Amino acid sequence: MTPSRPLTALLAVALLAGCETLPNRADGCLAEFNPRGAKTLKVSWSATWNLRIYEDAPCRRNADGSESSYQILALDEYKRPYYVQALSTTSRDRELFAPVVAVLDGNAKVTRWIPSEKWVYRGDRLTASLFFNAENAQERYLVVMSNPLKVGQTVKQRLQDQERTSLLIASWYGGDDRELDLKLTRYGEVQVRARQDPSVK
Amino acid sequence: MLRLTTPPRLLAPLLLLASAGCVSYEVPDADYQPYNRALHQHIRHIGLLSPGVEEDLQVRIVNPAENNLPLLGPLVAEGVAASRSSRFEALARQQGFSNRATMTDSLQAALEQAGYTVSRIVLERPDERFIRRYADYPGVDALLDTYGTHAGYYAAGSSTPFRPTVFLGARLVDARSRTVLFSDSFVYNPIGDTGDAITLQADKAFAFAYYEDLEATPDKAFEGLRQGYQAIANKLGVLLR
Repeated sequence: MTPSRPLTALLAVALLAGCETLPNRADGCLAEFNPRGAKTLKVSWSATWNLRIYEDAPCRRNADGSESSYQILALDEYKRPYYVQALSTTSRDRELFAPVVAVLDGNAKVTRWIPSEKWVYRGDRLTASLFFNAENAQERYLVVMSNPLKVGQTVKQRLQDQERTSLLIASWYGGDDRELDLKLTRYGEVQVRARQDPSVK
Repeated sequence: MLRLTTPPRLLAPLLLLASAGCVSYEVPDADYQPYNRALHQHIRHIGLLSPGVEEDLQVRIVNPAENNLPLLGPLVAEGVAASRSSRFEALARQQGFSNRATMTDSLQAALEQAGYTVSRIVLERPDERFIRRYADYPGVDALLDTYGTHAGYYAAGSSTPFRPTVFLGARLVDARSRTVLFSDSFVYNPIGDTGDAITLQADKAFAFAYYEDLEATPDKAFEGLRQGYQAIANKLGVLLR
């Protein structure tokens, strides 16, 4: 059976709605952030965005001439205080995306960012949070970008765990103690979630 | 411990009995809640509650070789750990090192560094966890409630060094509304899965290959622990800025 033209068009629109693409590298490496097509970061108790920042991600040329790859999300309409948590996760190759998280106004200008000292390690994940209060209601976008000052550096992480050595019919358990070099990279994945501030009743 | 690939049924209860001596490695159970300082600017004076830590110090191997010997192995390992911990505690008393005082001093210094006025509130805690019901403490804006689950020197295995180790849970509570303003867990010298706790690497300078090295250089050993507490307190102070 061949669907009618209006039905085909409707199906195409419905399919495309689920495949909306974020701004990509085709726009070149620009001095400004490009928020066109940014999806909305909803404040939710459960939703998590997995931002993939690889070679095809949009690129920003920084004031010092360095380049950062980034992904951009539109902020949800402000209703009450909330926070955004970003988690940069280590890949199997022991690479860790070197993140900067910035906030933009409606003109895509940076208003603030998460200071470097607020980032903490939770195991092999690098995480930080940023709050949005009434005075931030005019902010429009959240950018997760690579930190050109950190890319290429290595971070030493000691891995201490249980080590299992298989013998013929049994296993020998001991302690493992190794120092690993995590390489900070321009490309990788960052989870982003927005949660209501539980301290506001 | 020795784990047979297909253990005979009769051995299972005995193995279970033997494993009863294994170390339970408990990460503080503090739900993650970041601090919205911009919204709570009225919080300037923090009441630092007596921390929920014992004066016990542990010297332990988390995965001792003895655990591979069935039945008696874990019991032997537990005996060694208990003996070492007891000797190390005696050394702490000789050196004038107090777990609780070190933790309290570190926290107060870090909070003051973060711009808060701090008053110490001495109280008898019902247990080692967060306090369930807070009393009224007039004059302070918020209460910092902390508890520890591990403190001492831990090694991952029998052939790996002992390092200073501190596990801490921390919670900031509004003194009037009792609303939790901040909550998180901290682990200095993480071994194994530490869940969502903030992990801080122990300083390399305070790795001791053998237990006897700890006893031989007590000044250095307790300085390593002090640094562990300070590292956690400093990170907490940064997160409360």
